[in-house]
Amino acid sequence: MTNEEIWECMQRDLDGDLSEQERQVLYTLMQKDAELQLMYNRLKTVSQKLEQLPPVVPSISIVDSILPQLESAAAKPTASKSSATVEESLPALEVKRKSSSLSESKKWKRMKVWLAGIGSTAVAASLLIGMLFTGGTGKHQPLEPDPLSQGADIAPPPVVEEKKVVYGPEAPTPSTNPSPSNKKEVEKKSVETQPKKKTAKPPAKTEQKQPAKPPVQNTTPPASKPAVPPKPVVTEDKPPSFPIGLEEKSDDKDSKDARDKEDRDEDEEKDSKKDNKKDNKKERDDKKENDDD
Amino acid sequence: MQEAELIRLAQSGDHDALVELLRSIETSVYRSAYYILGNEQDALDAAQEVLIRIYRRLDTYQEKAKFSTWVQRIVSNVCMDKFRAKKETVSIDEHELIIPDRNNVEDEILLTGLSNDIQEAIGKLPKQYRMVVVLRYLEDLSYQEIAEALDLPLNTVKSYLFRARQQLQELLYDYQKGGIG
Repeated sequence: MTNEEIWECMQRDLDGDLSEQERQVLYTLMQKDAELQLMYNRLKTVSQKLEQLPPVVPSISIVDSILPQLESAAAKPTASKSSATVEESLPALEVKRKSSSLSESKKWKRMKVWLAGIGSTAVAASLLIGMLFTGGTGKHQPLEPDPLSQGADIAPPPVVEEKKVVYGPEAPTPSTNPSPSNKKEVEKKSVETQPKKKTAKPPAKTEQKQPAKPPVQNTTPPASKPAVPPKPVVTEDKPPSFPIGLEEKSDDKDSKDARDKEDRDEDEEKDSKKDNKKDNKKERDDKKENDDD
Repeated sequence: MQEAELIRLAQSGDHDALVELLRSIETSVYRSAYYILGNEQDALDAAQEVLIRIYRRLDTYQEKAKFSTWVQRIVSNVCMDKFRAKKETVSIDEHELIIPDRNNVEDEILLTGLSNDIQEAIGKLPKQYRMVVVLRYLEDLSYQEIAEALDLPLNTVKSYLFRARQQLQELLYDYQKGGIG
């Protein structure tokens, strides 16, 4: 048996891990060798000292010291869960806020678009009205001496209104005038005649409406100047002439002058027609009075 | 109430049984930590951490091993973490155990001069040797249980224990020689 094996047997004997045979062999070897016996005694002393180590005890109760921590740890899961739910709900709230802000921005954009559209239409309408009035003033002011206006630019509107007021009520009384053709026919004529002028004469804005009138009258007046029918033609030519005039914006000034002249002629004819109408009315009234009598 | 019954109740969620179980192992946990770490304060901290770990992980304990072995394994792990936290640069052989706080526990030890010498000698052992010695003599674990607690091969445990006793014998012999000289 080598020294290492003897040393291991000594260690195992201290732990009670040797069999009886192994222990007897070890003891016989130690009795022969004093050094082995000394080594064994030293190891046994160390082992005895280790076995006699004092059983230290904690100065405080460790369990009592950690109990609050343990109880709080036991309570933490619910708190952590609740906090987790709160954290989960927060993103949803943020998303909602974002969506609301987005919707508000969209609403603002839509409002802006609407406002811009309304503003643009208002501006366009005002421009058109202004153009109509300015275009009508140059023609009607001189022709009609007694408009409500006093020579200002605002004067034209009443003139336009006068036309409507004057010709409106007279429309139902075509029976007295034999010549007036149906409105539809007149409109058709105007529509047929106006396109020709469109291509040929694209005048300025203000002169757009009235240029449309002359064609109808130019076609008819030369032949029917002495006749009365032109009355309805004037009232009914306005609506179709409005869109047509818009398309004629890009024409030259020469065509404008020509149309101005034609317009003036037409106005004169209208005035004469009005006078005739008035005379006819007077005559009718007289006749009616006589009949009543 | 027996330990097995306490463990069963504690694992089933009985808080009182769990506390009682912790109280039953409190002293042994502190003792092992004290002799492994070498001072009372570190032993208290380590014992607290060990008990908290047991409280939280008791459901992972299986009856394949002894409960004391499972507990001592946690003690050794916590002590190793403490050693790593200290980042000892000096080897354990060259490190001189210092026990600054001489409270009642240490006064009791000082009453016996031999125990003081052996305690200082234990402090000079390598960590692995120290843990094996503590588990063998203070917790009275067998070779196999020490191997399970420290997750070491059985022969390694024997080797560590034999070498630890040899070193302790040499250290104590040197003390005797120094005392004589």
